[in-house]
Amino acid sequence: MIVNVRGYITSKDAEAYKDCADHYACNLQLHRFAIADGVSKSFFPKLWSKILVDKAVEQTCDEDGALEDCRKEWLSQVTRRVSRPEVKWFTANAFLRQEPALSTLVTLAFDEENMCWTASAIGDSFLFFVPRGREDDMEHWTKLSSKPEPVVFDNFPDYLSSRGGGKGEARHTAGLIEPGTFYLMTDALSEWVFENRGDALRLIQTDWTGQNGFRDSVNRLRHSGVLHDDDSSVLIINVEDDGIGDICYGKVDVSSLEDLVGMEETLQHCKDTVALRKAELWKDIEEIIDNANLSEYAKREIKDQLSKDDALAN
Amino acid sequence: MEKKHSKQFSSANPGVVLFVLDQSGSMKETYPEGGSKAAFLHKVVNRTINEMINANMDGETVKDRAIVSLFGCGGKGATEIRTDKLSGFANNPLRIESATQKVSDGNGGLVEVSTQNPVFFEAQAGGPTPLGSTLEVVKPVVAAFMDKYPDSPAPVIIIVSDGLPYAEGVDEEAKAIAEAREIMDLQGNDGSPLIFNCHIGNGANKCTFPSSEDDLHDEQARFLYKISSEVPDSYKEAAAKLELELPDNCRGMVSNADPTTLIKFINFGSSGASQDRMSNN
Repeated sequence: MIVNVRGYITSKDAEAYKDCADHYACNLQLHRFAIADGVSKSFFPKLWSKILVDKAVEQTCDEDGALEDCRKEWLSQVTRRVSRPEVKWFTANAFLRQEPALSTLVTLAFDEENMCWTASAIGDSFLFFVPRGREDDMEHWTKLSSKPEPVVFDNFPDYLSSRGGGKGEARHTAGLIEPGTFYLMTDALSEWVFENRGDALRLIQTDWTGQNGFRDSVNRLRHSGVLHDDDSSVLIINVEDDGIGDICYGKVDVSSLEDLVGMEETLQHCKDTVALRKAELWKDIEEIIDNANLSEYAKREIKDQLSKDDALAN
Repeated sequence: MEKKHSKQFSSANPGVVLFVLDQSGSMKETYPEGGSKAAFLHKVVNRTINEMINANMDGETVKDRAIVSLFGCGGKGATEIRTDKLSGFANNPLRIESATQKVSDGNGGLVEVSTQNPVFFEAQAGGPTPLGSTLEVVKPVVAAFMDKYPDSPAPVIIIVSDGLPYAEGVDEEAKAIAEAREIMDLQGNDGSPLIFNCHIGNGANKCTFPSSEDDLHDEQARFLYKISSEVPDSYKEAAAKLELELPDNCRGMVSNADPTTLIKFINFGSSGASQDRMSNN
């Protein structure tokens, strides 16, 4: 079997990548994939969703033990951040109130030996498996989340809590590996797929062929009112039969959120530097003009002209 | 067509919650909770902003899903106390006061911990109640917000006072009615601004969310009815959670509110910026 993997992620329209509380992870050695949507109103949800997906693609832990490990890791990292002297009052208060982080989680694992797959899901993030040629027959799709049927998307999903407990029970499913495509998606995209079915899959096929294409397509869908403005992430795992029993990875194009955040911060840093240098340069220029043996009118004219040129250059 | 007053507060389309706070001399009078009316209102509004911050905070940063505006109405006339994004309030409180709070110890018991309580503005009381003149100042602020954020939820204006408007030489009551109507006539993509009114009293003859002016027997309540918006359906869930009963087509007003009703009313009015009606996004 040849497996091609695509993974793309974007934040809400008015927010930066660093604000995105979705995460996904892939472990191609272990054939494990996971996606999580941190509940943005909870406490350090980005950290929690990242810890969950990273742990979910490791093989070593049983499920309960893994979740406990995740909770310890989250608490350890949050405690470290809250202990900093510059911590904000609202962060310190929420920590004292023992507020939790909340997140959904969807996992998928291929068992190469038995050529089967298993998946689990809690919350309103979804796994869809669409057998090849069945794109327009949603009743033939595998659809997994912990939402009850009929699926209604709302603001009250099930979740895993970083402080124990949580809401709802994870659901599980399994199948034999066959040609088709797995889609692991957070809620806004899942809702859109539910509503647009085969049309959505065709758009994914043609437009989501890279991070930029994905981001542009998501923005278009948002602006046309068919997709909710939410953090949105997707893992697309396409399985093709090459007549060989083993799993072999073909094209893998998975964007790294850390990389996107770094890129965004570096770009901002560059812009800030340009703005600062321009301000310094402008001061020098004003000094030259002010010291020139010219009338006030002439000085003002030169400044106006340079301002206009500067605006044009921008 | 999209239903009016259905938009949710979000970073892309922030909502505005504007408080008009009575700062007249009568606010010095004592209130059933102890302390003055002004001091109690100050505590409730500070706490409400604190709760908005908590509801929009994801650990170390506060999302600007709301803009909060505070206007005073008292001896200094109409004063804009502070208008800022939520993160502005969060990062720059006037001061932080220490307090203690009991929280779960994780073993079924409670443990007392020291918390930091932010103060965002100071209580004031003195002079008349120029509500009409204050709404005259508020109106262009609301209109400017609607121009700047056309896709945001309709602005919410919460007026809290302890009596009828009054100022030397001006019919502030008639002016308040005229200005409130002009504000309620502004049109945005999410409908007109909402004005909710709370009159602070002792809880006797309390009148909450009336559906008809005919049911009202005192001058104060009839005045509030005229300057209050009908409560849209989108606020009914928040009201139910606060155990506030809302008859059909009722106006967003309470007269003679005791302390508990005042707190509930302010939570109801500002629910767009807290958990109840906020996007889970």
